Amino acid sequence: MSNQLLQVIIALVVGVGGIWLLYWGADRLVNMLPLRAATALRPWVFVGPALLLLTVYLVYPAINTIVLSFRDRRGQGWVGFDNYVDIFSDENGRLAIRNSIAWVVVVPVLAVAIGLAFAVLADKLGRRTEAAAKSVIFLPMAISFVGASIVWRFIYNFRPEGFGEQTGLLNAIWQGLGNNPVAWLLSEPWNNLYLMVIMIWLYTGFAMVVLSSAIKSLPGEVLEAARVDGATEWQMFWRIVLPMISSTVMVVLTTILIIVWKVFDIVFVMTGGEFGTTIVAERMITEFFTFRNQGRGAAFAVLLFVAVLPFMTLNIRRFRAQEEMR
Amino acid sequence: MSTATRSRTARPPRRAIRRGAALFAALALFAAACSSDGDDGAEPAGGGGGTSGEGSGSEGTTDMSGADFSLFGAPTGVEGEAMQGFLSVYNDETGANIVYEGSDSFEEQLRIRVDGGNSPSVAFTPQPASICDFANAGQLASLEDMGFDIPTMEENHGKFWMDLGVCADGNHYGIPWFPNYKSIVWYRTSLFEDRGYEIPETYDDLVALSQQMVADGVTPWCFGFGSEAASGWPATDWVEDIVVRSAGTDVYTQWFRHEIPFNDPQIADAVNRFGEIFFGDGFVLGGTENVAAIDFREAPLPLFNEEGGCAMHKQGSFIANFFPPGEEDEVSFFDFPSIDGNNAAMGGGDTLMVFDATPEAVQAVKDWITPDWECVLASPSGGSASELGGHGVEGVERLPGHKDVPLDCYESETARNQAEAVRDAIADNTFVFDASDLMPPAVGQGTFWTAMLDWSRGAQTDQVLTSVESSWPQP
Repeated sequence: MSNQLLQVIIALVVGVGGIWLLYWGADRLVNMLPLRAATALRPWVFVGPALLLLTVYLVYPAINTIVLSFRDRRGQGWVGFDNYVDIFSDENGRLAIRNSIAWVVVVPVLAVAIGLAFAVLADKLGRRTEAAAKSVIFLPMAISFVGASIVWRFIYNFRPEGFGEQTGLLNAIWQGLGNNPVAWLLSEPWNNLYLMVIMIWLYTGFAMVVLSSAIKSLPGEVLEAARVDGATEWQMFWRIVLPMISSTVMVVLTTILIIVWKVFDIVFVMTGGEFGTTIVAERMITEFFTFRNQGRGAAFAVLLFVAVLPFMTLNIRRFRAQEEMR
Repeated sequence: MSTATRSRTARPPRRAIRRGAALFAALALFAAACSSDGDDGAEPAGGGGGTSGEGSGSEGTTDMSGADFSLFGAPTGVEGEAMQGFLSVYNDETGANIVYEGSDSFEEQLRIRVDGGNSPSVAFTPQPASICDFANAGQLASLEDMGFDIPTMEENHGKFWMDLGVCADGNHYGIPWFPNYKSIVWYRTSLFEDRGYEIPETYDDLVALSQQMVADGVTPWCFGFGSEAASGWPATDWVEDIVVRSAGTDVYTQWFRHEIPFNDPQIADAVNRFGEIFFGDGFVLGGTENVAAIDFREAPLPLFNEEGGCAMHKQGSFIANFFPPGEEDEVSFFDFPSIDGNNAAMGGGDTLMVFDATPEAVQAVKDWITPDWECVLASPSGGSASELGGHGVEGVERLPGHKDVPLDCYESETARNQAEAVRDAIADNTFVFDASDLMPPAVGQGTFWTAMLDWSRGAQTDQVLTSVESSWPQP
């Protein structure tokens, strides 16, 4: 144990000291150059290491994954587009794509809509109450996907007759209303929606916090002018607030959307992709690690990459536009 | 597969911390090519130290004080504690410092760790099919290189089990450790006694008994196919137990090796025979459509209900660990009945793999599979046979993977009976493994499970078997 501790300390000293030395040394070297050359070179010297790391840890694996998606299950021989053909001709692959599309439509829209509603309504509360209400809604953000899934297993839990009392919250309520208990996670296709609810629960808080701050930063004069002109709260929201925060709404929407494309934990923990709930990211993990089919796993990864790309670009464009406006 | 279930485990292994530090240093120094290829293992461990090969029961001559490595496996909870208990006895006895790490998502985690160059020294897997994936990639040390005596091992642990670890180069890579016995039907003893039901000898008797029970107002069966990401496997056990009896061991072997198609009529027959029980009118507690939602760990619990429960439940020996504590005596078990006069023993088992063949690791593995150490692993006290005691965790007993483990290692009558059946089967080499563990993972851990879940919820036999056949990976 002490040996390991020593290793950690040495690693820290060598690492941190090494970085400092590297930058210090590089800076001195640059300083020796003529002023004009030094000015031109200095940014590259400082950004260079980061660029190098980015290339090694991000660009290279991405290219490698794309290459791998054209190889066989062991990642050796070339198979052309076979992996992609398989995905689109396989019933399960198509189902995964359909479900993923449903996820990226439903989850971001509902998370943002609910978050926005909370943000607007909380704005009308007193300062203390608002902070308390927002904290409660933001709280789930702190829970991991797996943790949240385990929590929701207790909500959706189901026991058929003979297997004891219902322990699931939802079934307890459902039974209290005089219905028979339901195996929620088996009821296709609605079980997809039940899984999406978990994600919405997690990300509503995120949407709310960001949108709330956007609303708060709206110039008071505009709102006051609208009030003076006799606008109702409803009109104010649709005609003034929403248009003015629309770029923030888009950023939040696309951010959640990108996360939704990539989420696999919820499906993996709750149903393992059975009962018609499989999604692209879950197929990727299962094909790659469980089925050991490297080519098809990589092909699913590339699909995800391609699906996320336009939203990523959109997000960056929006962000830039916003920066320029300031 | 047996108890392998998946969710996350959070405990960071010590090695990971050490590697984390190394990685940090590498990052900090911009040593871009920081990834080492991990422990390629497979150095022939010359001084394996075993005296007369394995099976001698000797502690060996290797100095174990340098044995500082981790053993990685699937058992968690009480089963994991039993592994830790076993290792602490071993560490105390030999001066080794071996740590056990259990993970609920063992299969994924092991692959992630090995691919990430962070493989454990020794691991034991419930999926023998995965052994050759690692071996063919050069990540495992072969038994030949480590100095194991193969013919002796085949005699002691069964040739069938040893053959499962033979990979592309013809060498052995799997070391049989402890089995599960799955050809078991648990039943509520008092119910059978009160109503005078007889233990069925044949499958037809079993169907007839179930009908009799329904007529008497008793629900015969409890089923539960739920197991998170591994849902469906309990159903495959039924099919396998029927195939090995109705079609014979040869067809069973051809089936998992895909020498006959998955939708062969003999397999379809077996599934339909399972249907005689599964879809029998009033046979299944809670209704067949809900079976997929019942967790396999909760499935046997209604056996212990005085009223409104069920009478029988088929599941491997390990399920006794999930029985309500103190009530284990309310149930007993009978062997899965014969079909057309054929009997067989189907099970699973944990097979050791050595990733990093240090002399200490090899010696430890050789020790663990001896009758003496299997006796320590067998029960909390090691029974009257163990001189070294047991693993110390109440309620956990492990069956013998060596034909000479004394029956006196066991505390409970149940475990002793199963141990006898398994030990005899190993000695006769009639102990076969769960076929779904032996199929390619895309089938055995994928479409076969899905097929049985769909089937349990009303899909046609031919349809689900054809979908499995079409999913069988091309060689």
